[in-house]
Amino acid sequence: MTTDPIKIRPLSPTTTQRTTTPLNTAVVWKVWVKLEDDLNSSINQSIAIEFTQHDTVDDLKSKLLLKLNKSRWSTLNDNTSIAIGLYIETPKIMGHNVSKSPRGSIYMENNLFKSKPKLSLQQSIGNNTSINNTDTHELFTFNKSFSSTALNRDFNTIKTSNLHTVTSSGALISQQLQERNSPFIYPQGHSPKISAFSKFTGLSLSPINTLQISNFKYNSNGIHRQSISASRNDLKYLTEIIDNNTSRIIFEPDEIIIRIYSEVFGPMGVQQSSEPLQVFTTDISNSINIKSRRCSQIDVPLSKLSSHVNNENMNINHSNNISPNSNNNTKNLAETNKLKRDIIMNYELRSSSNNNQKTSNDTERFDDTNIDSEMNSPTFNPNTSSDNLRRESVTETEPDFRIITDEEQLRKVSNSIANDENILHAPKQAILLLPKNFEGDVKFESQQNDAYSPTSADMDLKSKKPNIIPFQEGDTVPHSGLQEQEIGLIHPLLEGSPSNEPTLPNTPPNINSRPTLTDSNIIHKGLQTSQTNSNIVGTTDELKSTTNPVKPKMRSTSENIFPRINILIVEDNVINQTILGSFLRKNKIFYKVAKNGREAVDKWKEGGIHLIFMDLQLPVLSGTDAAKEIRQYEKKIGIGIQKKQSSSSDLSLSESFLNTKSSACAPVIIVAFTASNSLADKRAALIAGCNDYLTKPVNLHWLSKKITEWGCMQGLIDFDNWKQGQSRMTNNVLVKKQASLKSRKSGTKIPTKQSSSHNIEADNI
Amino acid sequence: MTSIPADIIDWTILNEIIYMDEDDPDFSKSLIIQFIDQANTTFDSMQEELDNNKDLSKLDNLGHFLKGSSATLGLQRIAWVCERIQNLGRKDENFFPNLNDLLSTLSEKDSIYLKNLDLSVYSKDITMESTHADNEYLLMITKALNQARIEFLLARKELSRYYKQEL
Repeated sequence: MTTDPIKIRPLSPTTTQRTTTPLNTAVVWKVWVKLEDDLNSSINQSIAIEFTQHDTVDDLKSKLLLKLNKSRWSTLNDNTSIAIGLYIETPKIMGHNVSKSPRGSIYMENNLFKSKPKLSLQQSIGNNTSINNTDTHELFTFNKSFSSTALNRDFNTIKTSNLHTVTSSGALISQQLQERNSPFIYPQGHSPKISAFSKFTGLSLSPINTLQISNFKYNSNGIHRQSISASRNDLKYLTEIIDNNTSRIIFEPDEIIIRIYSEVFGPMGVQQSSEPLQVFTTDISNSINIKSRRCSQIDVPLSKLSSHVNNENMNINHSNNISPNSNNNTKNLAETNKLKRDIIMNYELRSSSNNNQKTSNDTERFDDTNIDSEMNSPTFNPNTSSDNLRRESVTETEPDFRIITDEEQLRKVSNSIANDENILHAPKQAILLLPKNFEGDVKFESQQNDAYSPTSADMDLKSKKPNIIPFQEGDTVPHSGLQEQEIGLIHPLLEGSPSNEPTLPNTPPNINSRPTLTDSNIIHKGLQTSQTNSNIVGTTDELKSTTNPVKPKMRSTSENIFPRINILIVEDNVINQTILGSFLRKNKIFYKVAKNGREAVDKWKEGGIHLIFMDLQLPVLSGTDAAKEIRQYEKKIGIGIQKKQSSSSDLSLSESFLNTKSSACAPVIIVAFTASNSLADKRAALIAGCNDYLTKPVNLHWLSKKITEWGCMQGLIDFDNWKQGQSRMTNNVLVKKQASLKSRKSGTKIPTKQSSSHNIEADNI
Repeated sequence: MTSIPADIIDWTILNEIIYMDEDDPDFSKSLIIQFIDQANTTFDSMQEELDNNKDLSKLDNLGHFLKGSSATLGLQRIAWVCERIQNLGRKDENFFPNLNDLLSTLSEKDSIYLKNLDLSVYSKDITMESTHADNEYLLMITKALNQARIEFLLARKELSRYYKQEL
């Protein structure tokens, strides 16, 4: 394939903009992409797609589809079914990179829980090759759903204490761990990903101090800060593990192409057609099926590393050190084979290895030794290495890990690790947080010895300190303080619902144990709510679905979640009251009803109201007048104005707000229900101090959107109170359900008081 | 003035409420029954207002009130008439169409409900000898009220058919 490097200037004769583009405007650039789709051998070459400064990945997809307009491929795919990214390195490379690079690679976990069983097994094979690297256990696994705030906070903690920590949020981590036989090693498969990735970009890497992760962003902020322009930071992508020696990076649809280009390939025009970005059909199984073509694809982007790869492969794979771990694998394999799915996985493994063999013929870059060793690995020939294993594990007298089940211990250990920070040459230790009753396929006692074969680095370490300190909360270990709740494994809502999880939180978490985690978890809940509209029910579903490895479906974001807020319905017509009330009750939102404007003002003064649905034409006191009155009161006592302590000392008024002080700091949001479409009405409503309006008859769909929108706004403004509400709801939701049947007739419900005891609890979390 | 909707019931709206029957069977029916009650009461109040006090703003409020619930239930022709009453009461409008003109707008499928409907009560010419200052508006509101009662009968028929019982 002939490949002229692309220049920044107008590129090819076909570029129409060539003559018309002024120098200082966006020049047409091109990026090479290549379809990864064995159905379509006709498009088995790189395609140049033009893009402009502001094009996103999604735009690129559109252009690609347009370009291939007539092909079968484009009829089978659309923007959502394809993804753009690249394949990246093998664990063998990784091993090298990791041992070379400073410890503490950060692995960004996004979609791993999506990986199907076959993937996990493949992953375990990956362990074969990577066990040598004992200093690669620094892994930061971040759950996709972590809020960036939470992440930052966690990350800071980790950084300062120099812990090497696997953090998890929700059930995802346990799922991952269960799916992967050896959690200690598993990370290794990934740590080099970033190493390679950044190497790729010609940047040196020292991950622990230089990588920052915010919500699924790979932020190369710290890497040679001076050399990277700010615009290059924050590349957004997901990583998925394809098998033991490949993962793929999928760029988020809204990522800007130019940034990807400059990050991956460098200056504009550098990319060769022989190193295209890959176009994936998003189904990961698909990419496994076509693995036979994979090798030629992965090594392309890694071509700059290839020589280095080869050397490393030799190093690693022919050493005896592999064997203990591989035995471990066979063990695990045997174990997991009890499960039906694993039979399939097993099959896939074999076939994939066959594929590898095939592809080795196709690709010169792919080192033969690499494949050979893989083929000879004990996973496939279990007997060969078992003897080795025994010997190795006998020499292993001291376990590399400690199980910690109470917080005091944890604090000590983490302190000691933090103090260790200045010991530069020893491998860092990691604290692995495991869910309570963690079972999975991981057997720490036995596997531990197997998993960490004594390499030199490991020996060094052992003389100093235990290597890894996981929490295992299995049957044999007495556990006291640590509960799943603390790491957010199970949403409290799940408490009462049937769940696949074998465990349920049963004691309130200790307050001071790990504030970072618990706090971040709460924030995560909150932000997710406001950002994705997913339901609380949806969240639990999500948890459930992650416990089911066969079902990696994305959650729909259109499902409604309603923030935990109190609503005041101001409506004179009983029928409308009933309908609104039923709707709110159905969505488990607390509400009060006022029949006219006067009543509305009074009920609002009682406090605790986040949102008012205000009919405008009301008897006694109209909605507009009521809104005005409310705004005046707010002004008087300084609600919504940056707090001046003295301003709230107006006794006569602040009296009534005393019990709601915390929540009253945010102005109430008033949504007017205008009966007519007349602009005058709406204007009058807004002028009176309403924040928004809906036209009657109120469409319930719109109503729910408004509730989400404004409720979340309130949640952000008044987070503490809102947070309490969240937990209050989870605690009371079952009771409410029953109560709601009765209260339907009465139409009102005052939730705040009866749940005050729960609020205290919520504060403590 | 917009023209009156052709369909008696906007089912997209009513279905949203019927959807809530999932949790509470007969929820929507109980609302309809409540509405029928409310409408009768409101009509009577209007009539009384027309006969006695002749207070336009009262009529405005009554019209607005019934408009709210009828619109919420998707009874859009009633809501339309109520809006006329409201606007007449505010003197925003000064005209109300004739009965036959309005009935002729009924959609074909809804016309069946006109069968066996005795309109004689409502179709007699309204003549109001009065010196009241707002006589013109009161006349139109009387006309509209008659229309509202007819629309109400039609709506009841369709709802009775849906709920398979006389409402």
